[in-house]
Amino acid sequence: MRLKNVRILGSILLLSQLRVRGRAKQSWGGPRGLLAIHAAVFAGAFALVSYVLGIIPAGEMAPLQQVSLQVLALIPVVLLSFMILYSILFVIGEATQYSSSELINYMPVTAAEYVLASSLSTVFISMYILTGILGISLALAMRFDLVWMWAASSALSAFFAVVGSFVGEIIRALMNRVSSSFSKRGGRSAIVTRAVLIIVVLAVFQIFFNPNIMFRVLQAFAPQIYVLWFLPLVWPSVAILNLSAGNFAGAALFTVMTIAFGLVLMACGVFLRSKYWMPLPVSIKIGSAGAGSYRRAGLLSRLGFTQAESAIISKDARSLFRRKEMVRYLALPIIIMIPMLLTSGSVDEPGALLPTALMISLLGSSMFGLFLSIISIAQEGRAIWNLYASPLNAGTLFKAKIAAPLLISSVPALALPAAVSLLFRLTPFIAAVIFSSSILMTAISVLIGSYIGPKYIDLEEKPRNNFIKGTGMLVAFLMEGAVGLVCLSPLVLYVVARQLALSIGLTSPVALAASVAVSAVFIVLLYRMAAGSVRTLFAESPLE
Amino acid sequence: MPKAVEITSITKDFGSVRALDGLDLSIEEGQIYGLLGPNGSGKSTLMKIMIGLVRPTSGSVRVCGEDPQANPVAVRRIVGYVPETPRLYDFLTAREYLDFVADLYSVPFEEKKARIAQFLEAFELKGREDEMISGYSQGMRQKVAIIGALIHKPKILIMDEPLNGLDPRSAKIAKDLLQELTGEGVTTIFSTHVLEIAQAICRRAAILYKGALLSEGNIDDLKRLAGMPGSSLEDVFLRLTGTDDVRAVVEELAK
Repeated sequence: MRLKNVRILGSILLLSQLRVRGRAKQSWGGPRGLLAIHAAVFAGAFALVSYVLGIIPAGEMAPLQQVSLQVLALIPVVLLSFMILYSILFVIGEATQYSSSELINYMPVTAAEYVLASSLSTVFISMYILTGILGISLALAMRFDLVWMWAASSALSAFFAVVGSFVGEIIRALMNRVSSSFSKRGGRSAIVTRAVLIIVVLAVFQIFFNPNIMFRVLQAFAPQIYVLWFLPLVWPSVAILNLSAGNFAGAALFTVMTIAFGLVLMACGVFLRSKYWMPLPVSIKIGSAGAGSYRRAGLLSRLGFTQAESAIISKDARSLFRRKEMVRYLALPIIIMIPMLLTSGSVDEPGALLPTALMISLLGSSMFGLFLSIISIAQEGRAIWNLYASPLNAGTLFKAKIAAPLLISSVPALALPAAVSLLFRLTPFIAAVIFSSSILMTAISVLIGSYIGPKYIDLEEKPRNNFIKGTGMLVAFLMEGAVGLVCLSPLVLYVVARQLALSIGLTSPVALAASVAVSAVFIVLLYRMAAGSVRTLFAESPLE
Repeated sequence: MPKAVEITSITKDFGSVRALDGLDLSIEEGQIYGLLGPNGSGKSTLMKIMIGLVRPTSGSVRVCGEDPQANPVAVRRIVGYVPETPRLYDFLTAREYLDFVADLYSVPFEEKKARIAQFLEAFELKGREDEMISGYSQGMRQKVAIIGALIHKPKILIMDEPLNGLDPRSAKIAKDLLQELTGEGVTTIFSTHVLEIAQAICRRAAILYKGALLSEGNIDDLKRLAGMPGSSLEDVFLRLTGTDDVRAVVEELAK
């Protein structure tokens, strides 16, 4: 292995990853800027925790001291898990042509050099997590005189972060294998399987990194590390605990075993990358050749949509299920709902669950509607010329483009209130509140998305589809929050300050009716604004 | 002869860059018309203006008597357009894409089914029509884009470098098809860098340079106007666009 090749290739892959994320355009987005950010995160985390520790009374420090050692021991395995999940997400979102992987085919670079360079670049780009955790743990270590432990933990954490990235390479190779199997097998089942796989990965990611859930897992897991010594994942933790107990031989043994484990994983990564090398994107067959059918006027036409509108709606639905970068939006209701459900706890009185139930329903359905609608036109990317060159007027496009997100997000808008109503055994009135809020807010969200989307459209596909400019997303969130608050204010007042609400005559049916009325006004207003926004965009092709 | 396209004093500025500079052009119906010119001469911009994708800074355009800026839907209903690098929906199969395009043009069910099958057969895509476009080669994508432009039986075809990436057999099919359609009264306006193709199939052609019209007429007219009646279209083109002095460059590169 030539380290010079690893360094050069690593720099290229780093730049490539930065560009995929759009960071390289910013002045601080280059490798040096990134390094400065990592250092700032370290310093900031250290300073913040040091300050907090400084104001905690000495008498309350004992439990924290015990936790500190556990934290230091667990950091490597947490970093490993983080890097694996990061790599999974990275694999899903990355455009194949920007992984520069095909250069192995024609450049004097070996698979081992590529795997190491790719792993290091991935670790470097996400190193703020490592530096942030190390900053926090250094503050704890200094406070409780565990600096040697911290040094060992840091070294092993950095190494395990790279090992996690090796696992990412293994997953990439296996994904290639799976994709090529899909390609050979083909069919709609391949698309559904892939979509489900992506949703599961994202849901797992959300659950794993929810702070409440994480804390509970850590509490349960930390005392059992010695019992689990035979698992390679905990070897660095065992090494640190041995060091803290003064067992240097044990610490050295588990450190060596940790390094050996990392090297074995790297060898696996190199082997699998070489074996399942596939530089070209796979193509998936939908059904056997000649068996595909043509779209007939069906349900959509019965709902009043024209042939052209139905075609756009069907195409957008396919886009949502078939494109990797779109499937993640399907996961939204699930990834929002699960952590909230898992941490909602138990409350005896059903009425007390209203805020939680309302949040689950509203966030799950309205955020889903907002995301789907805000990218509804932008997801066309540079293929948007197909619409501009067709005999469509702005009204047709607008109707089709709000119908798709509205129809799709109506599923969680109905399903989530039903689920929380049953799960929390809500009273009929509270269930009605949740159902109506969910439906109204979904409609409002879709219209806000349709209004903001065309104004902040981003059709660039290289290095990555962004669909919407960051400012646009921010504006949409603010607008969503403000409009939602105004529309639901009668209900919110009734729930939060019932006595005050009742004193001004705002009984439960009145509050519900008032919210529906205010929402209806906003729906009409936003509909007009969104239609105007699409009309302006459609006046001239935004492509050069 | 009725006019398919009439362009009067068209100017288009992109910021400080003038893409078209007071261009006048008149294209009669029922012919294959070539738009020639080096890169950046304004051919693609002119085509986009014809279909209403881009608004001119000044001047007017009529396509079959309709103004593409004022009434783009009417123009697009009778036009089939193939852009220079047609970006298709990669997540659709060729059949689904063509089905989608036919629906945008409101082609009746039985007719779209028959026409798509016919074109897939003609362009040798049969057997691969149910594969996602993401796995297609550039030539296959180009064929799908050409079929998409023809699916609704347009009166005018506007094609920007339509033969790019096509294998010789497919290019021949496309050229023969254009000739056939001309016989049925369809007007084809296409740009190309391959001057042999222009010479072989165009009745008339215009040479653009830096957004202005250098010369226009049938191929023999162009040669005569350039004072090179016995020369090839390539020599005429190079002379008119002032890029004929390539020998020195080639010799320098060969050193």
